[in-house]
Amino acid sequence: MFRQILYTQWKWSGLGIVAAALASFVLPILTVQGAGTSDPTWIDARALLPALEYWSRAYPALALAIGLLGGTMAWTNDHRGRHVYALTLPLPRWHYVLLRYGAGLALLLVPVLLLWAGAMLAGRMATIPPGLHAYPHALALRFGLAVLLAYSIFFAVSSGTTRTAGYVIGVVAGLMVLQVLILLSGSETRLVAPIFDRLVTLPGPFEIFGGRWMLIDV
Amino acid sequence: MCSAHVHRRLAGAIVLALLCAPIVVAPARAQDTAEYRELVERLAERAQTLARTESSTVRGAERGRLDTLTVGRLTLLFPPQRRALVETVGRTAWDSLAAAFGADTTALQRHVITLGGPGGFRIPEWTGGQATGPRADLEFAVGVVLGTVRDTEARRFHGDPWFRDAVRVMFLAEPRLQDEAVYEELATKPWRVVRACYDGDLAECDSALAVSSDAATTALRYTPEERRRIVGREREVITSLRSAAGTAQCVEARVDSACVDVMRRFYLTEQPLSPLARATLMRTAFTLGGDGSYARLLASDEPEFLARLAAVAGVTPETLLAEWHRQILAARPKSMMLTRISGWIAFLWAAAFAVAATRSSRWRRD
Repeated sequence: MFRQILYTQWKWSGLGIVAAALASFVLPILTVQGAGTSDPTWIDARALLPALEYWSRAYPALALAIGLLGGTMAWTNDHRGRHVYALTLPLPRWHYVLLRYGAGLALLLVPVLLLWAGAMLAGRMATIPPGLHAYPHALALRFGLAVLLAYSIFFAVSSGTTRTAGYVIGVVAGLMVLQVLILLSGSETRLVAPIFDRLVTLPGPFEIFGGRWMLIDV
Repeated sequence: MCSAHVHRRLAGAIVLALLCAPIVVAPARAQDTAEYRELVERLAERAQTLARTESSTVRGAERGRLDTLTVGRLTLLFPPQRRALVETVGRTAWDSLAAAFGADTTALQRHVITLGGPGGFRIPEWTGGQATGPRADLEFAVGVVLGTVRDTEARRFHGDPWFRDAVRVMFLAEPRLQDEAVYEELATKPWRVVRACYDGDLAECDSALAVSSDAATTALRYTPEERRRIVGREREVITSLRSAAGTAQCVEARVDSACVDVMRRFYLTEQPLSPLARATLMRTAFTLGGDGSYARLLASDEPEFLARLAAVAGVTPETLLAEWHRQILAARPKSMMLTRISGWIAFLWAAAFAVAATRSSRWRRD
């Protein structure tokens, strides 16, 4: 059963997965493009860190994009077919959902593994100045967890009805609008920022997306 | 109407202060011109400070939206809705100032510090590396304390850019951010002396943190190959100053004495570690020394600056350097490392969302 689900999911989202895998492989190589001098001085080392930090923003963004792609593509055809396919299967709902979740996760392993390979290749390609080290394994593990989390969130949102997704988007948009209105009224009350802070710091769900995503660091 | 009245008062205060100058100076007729000029300058500066304080207070009062708070000897003027934040910032600022400057902070009692300045309250938090908002005001407070210390020793110190910059830099960012930046510096600079310091050779740390800005001493802190590199890096500038022969001897013929000579003549006095690194050493000394550290630093008659700092801290120079080294190595940026707790939290959240997905129903209407 899992193989069938995996196959159908691959058919639906194969192109997107291939694009994501390609981007994941190329990103670490692009990151180290400035680290190729044969005689690195401390100026190169000090200049390299901000350059790497600039690229580091791309990793959580890519993880989010891949999670969004995997999470939404897993359910697109079910929604389109009004869940008739799922209803024809002799499975309880939770079992079906877990099969879909597992199939999506298996497909998303491809970009994660390719990012790992790309990071290891990039680490070998770059001439790393003294005092700096490459961290391909830590980066890949963190990327994998970020993809897992993003995928789980978007999968959960997409598994519900359009109304559920609407509620989620509505609450977020409502908070934004409320904050703008508060600012326009002259008050300096911060509504969104404290919520955001809670979400991106431990034990908030998005903490893993923050901080420095450095392939090469001290 | 109110504004015109205020301006008249300000102008009056300045004119009055300047008019009073000759009266105050009168008993000191025997003083020479330099002393006379210094006294007038001080009075003018005092008048300007009074005007500035008065001006910011009046601006706040005109807006009618400011409140005051006294923390230690700091008097802060701020928008009332930021009271909680100002209390936090004020407490942090006062603790830092009191620990470092001790009794010298009495100078602050004459000043009202407006958090935010004329542009209003800007950055509500301390952000790394930029002096804005409350931190810029804290820098002003440090300037007030430094500017008020009068004894000869303090003046000699204040004229020393190393000391002045280190004291000011100490307050420009959170200690943690400063330590992280110094860790990066220690880990990435390829100079032998810095690498040895990173590896724990405290004698080399002493050399890398050198207080002296003397070009002759600086040149000798590097290896011959490093000297060649430094001169080579500045070659374009030096050559344009018609010293091509010495530079060529150093860079191409690898004559070390030529490198030392060029470094001395062109003041290539870049120290192995930056002023920020030295500021962290001074902070370590002040932290260990506690209350009155600054006064003890000024009073110390040790010939070497490191020994002065050690005396302030109440430990030996080796212990001070060891504590600094431990503190910097402990500040290794950890954001890259995936901590176990961070990994588990992400995994648990992912599992929670997956479980939430299984609770969905295909029977519900879209």
